[in-house]
Amino acid sequence: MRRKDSPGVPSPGAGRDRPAGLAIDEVTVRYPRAKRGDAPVTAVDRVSAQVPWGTVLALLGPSGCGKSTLLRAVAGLEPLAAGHIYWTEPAAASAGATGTAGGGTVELSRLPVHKRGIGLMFQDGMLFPHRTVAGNIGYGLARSGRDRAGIRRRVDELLDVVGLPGMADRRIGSLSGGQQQRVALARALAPSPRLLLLDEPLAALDAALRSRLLVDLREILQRERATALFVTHDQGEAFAIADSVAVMCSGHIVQTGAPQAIWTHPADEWVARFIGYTSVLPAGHGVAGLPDGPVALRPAALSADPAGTVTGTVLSARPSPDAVRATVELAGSSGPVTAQALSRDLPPRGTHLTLRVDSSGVAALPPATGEG
Amino acid sequence: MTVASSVSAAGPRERPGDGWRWLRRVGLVLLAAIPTAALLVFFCYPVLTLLGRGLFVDGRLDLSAFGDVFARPRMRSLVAFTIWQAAASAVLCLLLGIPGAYLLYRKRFPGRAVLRAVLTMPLVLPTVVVALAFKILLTPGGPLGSWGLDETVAAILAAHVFLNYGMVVRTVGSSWAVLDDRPLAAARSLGATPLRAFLTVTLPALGPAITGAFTMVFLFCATSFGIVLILGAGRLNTLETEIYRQTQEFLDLRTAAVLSIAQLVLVTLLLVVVAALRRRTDTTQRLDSGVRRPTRFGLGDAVAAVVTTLVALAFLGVLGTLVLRSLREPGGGFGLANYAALGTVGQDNLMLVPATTALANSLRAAALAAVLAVIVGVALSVVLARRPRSRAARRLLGAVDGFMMLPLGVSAVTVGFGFLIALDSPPLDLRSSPLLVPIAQALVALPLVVRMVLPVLRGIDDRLRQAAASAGAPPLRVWWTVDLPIARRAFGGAAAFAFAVALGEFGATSFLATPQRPTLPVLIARLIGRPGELNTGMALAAAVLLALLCALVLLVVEAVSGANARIGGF
Repeated sequence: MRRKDSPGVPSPGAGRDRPAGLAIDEVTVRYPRAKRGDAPVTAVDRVSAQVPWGTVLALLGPSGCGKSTLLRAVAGLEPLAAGHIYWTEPAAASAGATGTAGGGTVELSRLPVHKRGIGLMFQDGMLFPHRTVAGNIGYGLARSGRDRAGIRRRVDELLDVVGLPGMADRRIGSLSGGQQQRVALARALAPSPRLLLLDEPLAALDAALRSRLLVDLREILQRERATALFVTHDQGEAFAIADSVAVMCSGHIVQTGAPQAIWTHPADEWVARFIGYTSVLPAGHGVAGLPDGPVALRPAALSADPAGTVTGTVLSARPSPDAVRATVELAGSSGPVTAQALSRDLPPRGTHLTLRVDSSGVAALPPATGEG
Repeated sequence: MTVASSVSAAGPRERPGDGWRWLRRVGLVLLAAIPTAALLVFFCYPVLTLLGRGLFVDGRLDLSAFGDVFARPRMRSLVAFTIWQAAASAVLCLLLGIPGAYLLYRKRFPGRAVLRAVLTMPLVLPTVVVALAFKILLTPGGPLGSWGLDETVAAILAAHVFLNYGMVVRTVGSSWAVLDDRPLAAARSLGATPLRAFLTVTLPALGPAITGAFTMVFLFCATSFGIVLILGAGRLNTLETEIYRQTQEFLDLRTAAVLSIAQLVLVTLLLVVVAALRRRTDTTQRLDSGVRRPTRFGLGDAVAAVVTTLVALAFLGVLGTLVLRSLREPGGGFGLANYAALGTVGQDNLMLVPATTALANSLRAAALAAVLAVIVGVALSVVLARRPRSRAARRLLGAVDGFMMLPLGVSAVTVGFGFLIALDSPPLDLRSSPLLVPIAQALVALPLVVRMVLPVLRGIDDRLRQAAASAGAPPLRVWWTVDLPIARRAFGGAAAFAFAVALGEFGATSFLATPQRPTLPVLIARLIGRPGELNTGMALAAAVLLALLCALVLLVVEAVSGANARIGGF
């Protein structure tokens, strides 16, 4: 029943049964050129990704990598230059609703925004300033077939979910930033959308509030069994909240996997550095005591310990909350390499440190990478 | 649960979401058709007809008229005078208005609201009323008669400043009110004196607002009609009054057409500059952090306070004289005789209808004009507020945006006279229709409505609409539940302002209002032009009444759309 109209590579599996959830299939988004003579900007370049039903996929990447554009494309706010976006209902739900064999698949990219059945949450709330808290949360329920009392019940239910009971009649202006984000989440959840799209929902909050709301958000998403796309530039957020993480760089997804898998096996040096590895030693570094081949090291990989196996010379050192971070020079077979290490006390420059290797802070990189 | 409907909606189309986007595009085109049709029929057609009458001789283009007209030194000096008096008026307005903008929008002090009201009230006063107020102030035997300024350029400049001061204060002030303080603090911390910091940081930041205000004032003064006609007393003429004289007195359509074209060129040049400046404003506008700390009362504050106080006193003097004179009875002493005379047809049966009937005509026409202007203006603003992706569409919108300002600059006299000669045959025979005056007035008010509504619609964060759409709202419901509630105040304010403008409109109306159905400004002008103390008294009483009505409308605008309503500004 679907027509193939992808101009590029035929989308693999376009006609097959799909697993329940969201499927992003070879999606390309281009921005028109700003001036005559400029090349059009390809913000998202033939990206494919899956979000299985009831799971959270974090799109992680630096600003300008195209992650928000991809989210907006899924929402229907950016036209696709190529590709498709599909939604497949889980078997139980679709059997009752449509009777379609093979679990009703919808091509979201053929639908206008308001028919996609999504919940969208922005960085800075974007609550309707002229409506109360209840008016905001109930906005998407207008077409739900509920009567006034039913809408109110659903609003109260959601206020409980996001931890703001009794705030229904407050004005938006009287809410703090954190409360506004909670209301925004409630508004997005209210119509029970098939898919939740969260665009850096915590980025505008201060650090303490962010970590508190992050824990709540994770709990709420789990409790509601939400299928969600969560865009963030903060690797801590991504790993804390997501079932799987897709790392994006200049319009491409460079690695997808469970947080732990990305953590232990970053695809290349760029990913390793982006998720918090501070040093990368090239292939053939020749430092005794470290695995051969290109390796990425977190500061915790090397710590000062008289019983250690690696020695290094301190170039500089400065205190950080848990331990002193030192930049050390390690003697390699083909010349010195620098790395970060932890120490209990502040070593003066030039000190020779004996370092213990903690393998949980070391990730081997694929052989092709690690140069420069 | 919505799977069934969604599947059926996903028909076999070529491109994702094409059908909906196409539908919306059709809706927008239809919406754009309302203002386009209105402008084509009621602006382009009459103006082009008038120009054609002047430029085509026996069906052939004949441009020799240009040579004939501008060979006359009188005509060349007319153009020069039009430009320099407008520039001088605008510069004076800025010099006096910038301190006022600072005081009224950056400082808090008791009585600020009253002062703001006094200083911006003249903005909505009809030009006829202002001209009359200055006339009786400066006329020999008047309170300032000994200054010898009657029928001089100084009188015209003073009246222009009086009328447009509020525009500068509002345009510059509303930008200043939301200006980020921190660059100024940075400049001061780098060792700049308050004056240097002001000149190097604040002034450039306000640049777009200041140039915008300058252009608007220049535009209004270059096309000023009532002021120059009454205060210039036939000796001083701008292009606008000359077009009127050529058509009304000498019936010389060719010369009038040439002068209209000259004015059109002047205005178009100016609008191109404005458009370029506005494009810069869009990118350089920086908003406040929202925190405002009280600052010490400094030298700059003192200067601003003194200048603004003097301006306010002068304004009160002008208005006070008008009110007092209207209360002076023909036989000496004070009373309401002039107001009582509004029920009569004037000394020597000057008019066909009493002034009270003219007032009713004015109110009726202005109400209709306000409705028309708001319908067309809102439709246009909704279209212009869109930010299309393609560059071509953006260009097109930019061009329409500029084109919309044309009625503001094209002489109201040209519009009025164009109506008279173009809309006189079926299917557009409106000469005797009571709709003619309201349509012309709506045309004059339209650009001002767009200027008030468009920034509000543009200011609505697009993500609010996107949030609504993602929650399942189709495009019309998005407009109804997001745009409309937020912009409702601006719509109300624009309607009231359009009403005030239409109430005081004189240039076009003076052509179109028949003697049997005059509006109040037309009647006032007629009364001024005639001898007779009772006629002057009646004109004064009618002017005060008109001024009160307009001031009342301003109060409504303030109350409805808040103190920062951008009346007539950018």
